[in-house]
Amino acid sequence: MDIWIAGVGEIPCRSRYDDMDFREMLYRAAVKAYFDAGITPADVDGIVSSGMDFYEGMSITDSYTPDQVGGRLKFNTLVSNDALNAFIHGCMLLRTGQFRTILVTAYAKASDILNYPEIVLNSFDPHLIRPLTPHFYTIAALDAQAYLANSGCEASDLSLVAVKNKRNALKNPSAAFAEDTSVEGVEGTEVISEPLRRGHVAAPCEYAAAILLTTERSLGEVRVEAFGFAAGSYSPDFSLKVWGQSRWARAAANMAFKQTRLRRIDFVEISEPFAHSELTVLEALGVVRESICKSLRDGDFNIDGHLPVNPSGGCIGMGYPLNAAGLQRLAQSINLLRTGKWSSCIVASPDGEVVDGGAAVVLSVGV
Amino acid sequence: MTRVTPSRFSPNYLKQLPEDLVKYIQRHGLDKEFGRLDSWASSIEKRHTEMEGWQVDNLVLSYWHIACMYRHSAGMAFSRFLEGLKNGKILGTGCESCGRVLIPPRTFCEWCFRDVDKWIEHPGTGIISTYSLSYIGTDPKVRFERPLIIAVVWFDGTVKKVNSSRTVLYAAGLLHKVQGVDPEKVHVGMRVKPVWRKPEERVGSILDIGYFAPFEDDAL
Repeated sequence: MDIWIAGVGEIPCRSRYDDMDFREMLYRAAVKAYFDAGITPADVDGIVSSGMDFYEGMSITDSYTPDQVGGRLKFNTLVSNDALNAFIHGCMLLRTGQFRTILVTAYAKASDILNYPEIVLNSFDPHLIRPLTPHFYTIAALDAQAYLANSGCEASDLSLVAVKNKRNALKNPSAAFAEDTSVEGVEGTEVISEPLRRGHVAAPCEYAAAILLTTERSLGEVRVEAFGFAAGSYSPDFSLKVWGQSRWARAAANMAFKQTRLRRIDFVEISEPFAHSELTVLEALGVVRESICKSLRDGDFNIDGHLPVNPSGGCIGMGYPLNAAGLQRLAQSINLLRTGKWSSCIVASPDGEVVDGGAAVVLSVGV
Repeated sequence: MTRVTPSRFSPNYLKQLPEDLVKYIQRHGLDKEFGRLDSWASSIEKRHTEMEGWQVDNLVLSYWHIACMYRHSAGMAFSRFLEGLKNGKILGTGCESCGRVLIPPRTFCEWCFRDVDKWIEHPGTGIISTYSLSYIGTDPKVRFERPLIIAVVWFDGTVKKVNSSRTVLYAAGLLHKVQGVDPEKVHVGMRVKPVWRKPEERVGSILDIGYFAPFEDDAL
């Protein structure tokens, strides 16, 4: 059963929306998605929302999801972790044959969370990791250090990723942190936890997106080719984690590539809470045959390179919208495919800043 | 295993255990044998997060009190609503497509999926549509001597019913406290009005309405 993207709506990333709560943000995104698809909420059979009570500060967040996106009196479910999981659940609902059109939504209201690092601390093992009270940036830095040690990349390569993404974001009106910067500029930012500098970290942002999925061919131009999800070690005490790698991405991509005959990927969109995340996920996806470091330095991943990576600006250029990052990447990918410049892409998103798991989705247009 | 500095068992911890287990612990005097792992506690220099280690026999328990702090944005509609309460006004919005009044207000009508058309001010008079005399609170094992009266108030002129089937199509109202009445006399359909806090006490909160109290129409 083929699944098509009928419509996309988003509100631009901002470091903070003071004048809107999450309902108003989602309503605006959903109105745009319906307009884009040329349908109304009456045509939608169900809603799949991405949400984490942990981030929202509300229990049973799915009680809050349907009204503002046209889901009143409809099938409604909430999927935790990254929004790419919600998107995949939407696809699976369509494949049951019981639904024709599903709306997938996600939002981030990062400025509502006053002590985010401590809240993330809550996800770590209470006996072994929490007592050490590490900031999750430090956990990410352990990954970055291991990647640099094993890959042959240097710390300045992390800055190259940040520069590429911030510059790409200059062309994206939805980006909050676009900047015509340089490696020297990024290297000049403060060290937050070696080898990570402030410029290597995607700043949190506020954002909302809604994507309409359908099995109705006449409503869609961009096709969902395939999807996959995989957990890595998933041990909250990190004892089983393979540092410096994103093995989940290899498994998720393998799962996805088995579902499609498509062998050509024109660009890649990766949710990268940190600069090294882009590189570890890219390597694991298996879409680059050469050395990642060499290709990066040669400009192969630039927007005009052999395989553009995060031509939208990624999370470093747009802002990191917590669990909405996956839908942020998908919305950008769909918009990029619609430009006619490219015909296929793979989107990958980890389940959180330091979570060893995530999902991948392959999209195509006119193939 | 970490050495234990003997101290009294935390009453907070006891509250989290099943009642049967608490009784067992107390009956056998085990609550006095638990110990606080001071070396752990002292290593946590956090502003908001508290951690204690507890030990009984060979079992070590990690007790965490993590403060998750949020600043919930009220958004356009609720901000104006809360500002209205501060000024002693109950504000709502209206959708001209379906005719509904939305109190508390929204900037969109989720029925018609369109922006609302107007703002309205309501005096807050209405009827109790449902209520409960509550003897319990959210703290464990707390029981009120006098019941808390929690009710849903439907505001005048906002209710649309199909009289033949008594089906309520829509209504606008607030969930709030009712006071100034003998609990036994509260009933569905009772006329109520808001009793406001003094202007200098209002802060832009739902609690700026102190409570709803019964009234008779000719007393207005």
